[in-house]
Amino acid sequence: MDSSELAREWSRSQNAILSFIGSLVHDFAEAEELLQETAAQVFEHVHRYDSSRPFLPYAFGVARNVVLLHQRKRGHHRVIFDQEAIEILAVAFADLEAEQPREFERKALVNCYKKLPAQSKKLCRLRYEEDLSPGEIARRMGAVPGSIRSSLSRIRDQLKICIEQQLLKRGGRDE
Amino acid sequence: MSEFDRLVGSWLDGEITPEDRAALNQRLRDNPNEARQFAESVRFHYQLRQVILDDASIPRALADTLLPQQSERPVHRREWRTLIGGLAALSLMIVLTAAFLLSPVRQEPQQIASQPSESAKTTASPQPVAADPVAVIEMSKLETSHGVNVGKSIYIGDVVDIPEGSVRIRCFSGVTVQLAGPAKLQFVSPMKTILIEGRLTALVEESGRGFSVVTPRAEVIDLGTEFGVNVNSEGDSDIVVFSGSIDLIHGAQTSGQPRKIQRLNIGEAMRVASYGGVFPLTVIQKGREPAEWSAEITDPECSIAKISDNFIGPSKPLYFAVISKGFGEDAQAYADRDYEWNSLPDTPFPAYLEGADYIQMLNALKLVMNLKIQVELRKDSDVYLLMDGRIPPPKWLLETFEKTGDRIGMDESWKGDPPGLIGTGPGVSIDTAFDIWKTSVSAGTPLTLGSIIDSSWESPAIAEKTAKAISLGSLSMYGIVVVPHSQKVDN
Repeated sequence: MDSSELAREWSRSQNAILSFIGSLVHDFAEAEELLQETAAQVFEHVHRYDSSRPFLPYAFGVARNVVLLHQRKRGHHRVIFDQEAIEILAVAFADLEAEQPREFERKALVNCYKKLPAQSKKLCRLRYEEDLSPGEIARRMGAVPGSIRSSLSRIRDQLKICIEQQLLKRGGRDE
Repeated sequence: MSEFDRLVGSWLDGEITPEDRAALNQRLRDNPNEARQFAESVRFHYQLRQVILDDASIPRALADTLLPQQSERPVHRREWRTLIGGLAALSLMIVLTAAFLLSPVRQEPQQIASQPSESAKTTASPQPVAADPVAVIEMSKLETSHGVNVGKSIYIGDVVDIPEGSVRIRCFSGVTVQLAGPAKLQFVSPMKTILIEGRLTALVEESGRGFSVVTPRAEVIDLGTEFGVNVNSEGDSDIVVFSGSIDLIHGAQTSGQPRKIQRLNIGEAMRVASYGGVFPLTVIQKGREPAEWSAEITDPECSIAKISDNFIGPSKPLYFAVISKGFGEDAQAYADRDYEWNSLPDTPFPAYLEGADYIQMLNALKLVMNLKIQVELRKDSDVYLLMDGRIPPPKWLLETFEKTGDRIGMDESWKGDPPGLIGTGPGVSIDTAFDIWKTSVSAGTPLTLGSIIDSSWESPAIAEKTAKAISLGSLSMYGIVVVPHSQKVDN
């Protein structure tokens, strides 16, 4: 496979790879850094990929090795999940990706997010843009961590319900 | 809330205890349905982050550009967050930014476009703003004017918005910008622009050094150069350096981590994807005009379909440039050098190569051992390989190509040499003679090329000659010219 074909495969799969890495590490920035390192490994060793086989499991394998190496370097000897759980997760993410209902869901999420009250958006920005934990958000806002956790959980649920309603209105999932 | 939901919530919030993590691990192993639910939750978690970052990206870029003293040095999110004192101040900054951009002091900043923005007519508290224009539309190739007329002045805050065609903008800071539509470009200072979408090519004079282009996920700072930036509808940013160098700033825009700075030089190109990841663009198509470039081969008439190699990677983000029907006198020889192909003195330019498709190869690859480059064609063609005549031909060349007996020259320049070393026209300022080799290749059949240095040489005399050429630095990478059989001209 040449580099441009690989770039297209990568482009199609990058969100799934990011989510997979995100299931193995805690913060967004760390996951995004590791995604870049995974991209570097995949592109640096283009010849290692057998293009007759699906790309995503291969990329998940590279990503898993990158994450484990990163944790060892940082002295995190205890991996977040064990080997068996990671393999099961890789299959789950690959299955989700194969269903490909993404584009309308993403648009629905954009619409639903816009409808959130200002206070909820502020909380979302602190958690998802600033990458602050509920404890840090609570300290910043002078609130109790538990209430921030509950609020974030409630917002996520609201968004999921809103997306489902939009999907129902539209008559199902696309593609 | 179920126990499983509680564990997943703790994970998503980044506050899971070791005991809960062990419990979650066990549940993932024991129950594939719960593993799937967990995967769905994490995927949603990252989708939501992407939506929130997208929602915030343009105002954040604007806020960055207006922070005092920030434009000329690396951006560090924690540092500027401290400066503005958190989100409340950021909100204030965005409001002030809007006020600044919409200030009526020099009349309203304009949406220079077919459909003037209603918001541009809104007034806010007057803020001090330079009343002088920062640029002017110098040339327009639009089917209809769309309000973007030649001679139109551009002020800080204006958005040049073209749905099609192209315009050339002369910035008074010493930068010439070619903008190809559909495109939106906002001027936030004489030296800083935001490319919201579309393709831009900037030629920067000495006085314009430091000129920068901000995109949703990257910033390009010029170091004296010609470069291109394209923002596609997905929010990916492609950055290509045609001459000189730029600094590309990218990476996590949040989370308090410093953004990365990567120096890109002539012949290098990167894509910063909308999610923030970066990877090299290995093939660029260049047109006859500077603004006519793209990050893939889009010309259906071009006989070259694909190029791949075993060397280019994120740490070496070089690109091959494909030029459709562009070979001739003074054609740029390499994507990473300004050397030119020319006829040798008193020798006519090979007529069969005039106007052919060709690849600007990478002179940086000249000493790479075990190099493998594959070229795939759309049409059955004759492929001509132009080989430096100072070194013995490698085995792969002898096995695949035949020497035509014709030769062509190269006009070279060297780093640090005074300007004007590159001549113009046939036979002028020629430094090296290249032998022309030929083979015939069918459409869709990959042609494999190797290193100019063949490590498998058995003859000590040839090895010695090659080693001497290498040690003197007196050799150059080969060139590739493609002539489809359907366009053949008799010799």
